[in-house]
Amino acid sequence: MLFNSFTFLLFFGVFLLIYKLLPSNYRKQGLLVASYTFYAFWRFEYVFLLLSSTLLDYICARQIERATQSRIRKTYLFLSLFFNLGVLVFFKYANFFGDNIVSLANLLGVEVSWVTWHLVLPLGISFYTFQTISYTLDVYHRRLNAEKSIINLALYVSFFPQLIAGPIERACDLLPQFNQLKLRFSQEAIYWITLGFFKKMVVADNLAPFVEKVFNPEIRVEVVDYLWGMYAFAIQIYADFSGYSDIALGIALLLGVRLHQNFRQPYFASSFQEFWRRWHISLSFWLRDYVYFALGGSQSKRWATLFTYRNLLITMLVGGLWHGSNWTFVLWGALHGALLMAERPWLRPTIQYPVLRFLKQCWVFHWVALAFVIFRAQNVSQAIEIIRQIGEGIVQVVGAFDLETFPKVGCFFAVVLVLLDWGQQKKWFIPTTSNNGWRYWVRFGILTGLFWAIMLFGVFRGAQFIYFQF
Amino acid sequence: MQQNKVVSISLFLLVLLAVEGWYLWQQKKVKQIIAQKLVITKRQPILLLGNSHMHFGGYTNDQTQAINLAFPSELFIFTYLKIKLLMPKTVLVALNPQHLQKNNDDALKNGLLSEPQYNYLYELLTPKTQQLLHQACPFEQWAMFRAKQWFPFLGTRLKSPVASNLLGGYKGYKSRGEVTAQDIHRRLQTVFGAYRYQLSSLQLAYLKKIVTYCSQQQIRLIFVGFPLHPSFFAKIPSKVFHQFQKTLTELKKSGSFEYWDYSQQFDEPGMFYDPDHLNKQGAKVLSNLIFTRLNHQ
Repeated sequence: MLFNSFTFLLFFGVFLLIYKLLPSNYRKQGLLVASYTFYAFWRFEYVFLLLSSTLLDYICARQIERATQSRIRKTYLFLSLFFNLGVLVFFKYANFFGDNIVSLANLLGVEVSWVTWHLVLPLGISFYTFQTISYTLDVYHRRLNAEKSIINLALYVSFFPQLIAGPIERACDLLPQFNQLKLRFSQEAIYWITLGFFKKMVVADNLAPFVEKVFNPEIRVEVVDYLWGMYAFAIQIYADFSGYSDIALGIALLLGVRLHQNFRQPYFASSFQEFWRRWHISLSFWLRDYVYFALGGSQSKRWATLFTYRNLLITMLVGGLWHGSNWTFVLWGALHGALLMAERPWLRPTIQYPVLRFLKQCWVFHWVALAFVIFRAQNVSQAIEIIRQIGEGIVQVVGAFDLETFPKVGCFFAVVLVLLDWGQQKKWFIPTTSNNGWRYWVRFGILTGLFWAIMLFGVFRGAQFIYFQF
Repeated sequence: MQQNKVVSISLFLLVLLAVEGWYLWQQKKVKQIIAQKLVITKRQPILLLGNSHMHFGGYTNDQTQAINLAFPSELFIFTYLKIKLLMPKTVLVALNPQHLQKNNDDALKNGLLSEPQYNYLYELLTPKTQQLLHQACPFEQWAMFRAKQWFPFLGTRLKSPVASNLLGGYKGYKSRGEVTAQDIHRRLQTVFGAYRYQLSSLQLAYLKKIVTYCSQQQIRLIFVGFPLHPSFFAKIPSKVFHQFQKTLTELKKSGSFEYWDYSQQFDEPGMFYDPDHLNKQGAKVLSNLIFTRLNHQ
């Protein structure tokens, strides 16, 4: 069920009514039923996967907490990790690993073959698996007490606003909130929902056909279109994914739960490190806490720099591979790892001249956009070909500009989005600030503007969110 | 604070009312224009109907007796309705093997019903046909169609619903350049591959109804097989043509019609917009052939 569909509108409308009418001590159960119904709308059988992951983690975490012997604690942790990662690897990476092992073996002269498994990737598996892993690890490291209520834990794993595409929440943030669920209509919730729909339906979906054309190997486009395609995809993926996160944030707020903001104007970052603190924040922090720090982070004493670089690279490779079983994602992760390593010696605090900061922002944005070409391409050779075409496109940028095929609506609203992000960065109209004076009217004007942009320029075909495939 | 809220909500509702009012007024205008057009066009000697093939390829600008009311992606359900409403003496309908394929039903998925004229024509269908369309239309598109009846401004991009070709018409397209092997492959995939050569029962049923109705009302019905790009024609599997011939033979049992086959008429790639649509030049040449033939009979 997509947020931008009439089915969801109907589902959520009915659910809100029930939620309002439910006695406060039954809201949790109601929300759990709604979350499972939401997931079952996609494929009923995969609900059991969600359920088994919840049950296993509930038992393992309880046993880890109870056990005094390190060996037993480790056994339960291993069991939980083995199951969760096993399911993830089975559905997401089995064919990728199989194909590559076969290719490698053939290269070495060993005759083996692999029959591709036709598996349907469970929706949101990468998100909820990482969420459950963080729960078990936190209990193991005694950063969190094991949850006593199975309902709370099941809700933590399946909470429908963020089940499919995050944010990847930590148990310590989410679990306590399930004990005080309440319907809360607030201006902030409406703001995030409207902003999210604007990003998705007006910006991302209006740019999508152009991006689709540029990245379709069967369609010939002008050389200069590859360059525009690079920019268009960078905006599209940001608007699409942050749009989903904003809607999730707003919907959760309505239900009385505060999720973390997953994006903080990432394209205004002036370093790659800052970019990753602003882009898909919940994944970045997850990788930092459970991969980068687990590898030693930047704390290693001997060969400190070398170890830090190694850890950065491995973390980013895991981050890349998390997105999917394709070498393009690995390459994308590696490129980001390399960029993070390259900029590290230059990260000393300097005086922030506005012009210098702007130039740095442009530099970072262009590298990120270029890396997204690899991310979006169907395979590495297509990525290389498009990057080559972009190089040629830069030369022809003024000459061959075809206004007819240019996504005018999408681009216009992309500029609006940049201005909105800029305003948010300056904290001019964030909903949590004062409700009085001119800010109120600025926010009202923006909300009304966004509403009409959605109504008049929105794509109402229920286009899927890009991050649903991960 | 309370005052701010009251003022802002009132302002919001006022704008909503203004936009809604303007669009409802436009919608009323659309209905009037279509109703008027239906009256004017009634009993026109020659009527050209169909989907994009006739829309791109039926050049009628220099014809006084003929009018083109074809519209891209139009289903036979609406072609049938147009014939019933307009009662022409002769009707030419685009009919190629592509028009029977299941992918034609995708028009509903792509929001055909949300087009202003189909919104109007839908109201003129019998409840049974409306029910049939409802069943064939995916829920999301059906909900959008219904929502647009209440809020006609949804997704309009500020375009007024009053357009010049409200019931359909001819629109010439410039050549996009040479039709490539990739274009042909993609088109084959879209038309035949996507649904593995399945036929659309909705299209077949209403094609039969068109034949029966025209026979009963003594309307001369001519199906026009539109020219296909030679490379595209060559790539269509023979089973598609066998199936098509079988359908035509079956249709003969329902009533009389003529089939003018121009599918292999043009060898020159310069006549085509894409693998199975004519460009401006191709449209003029083909229309000339059709009208000359009509005048001679």
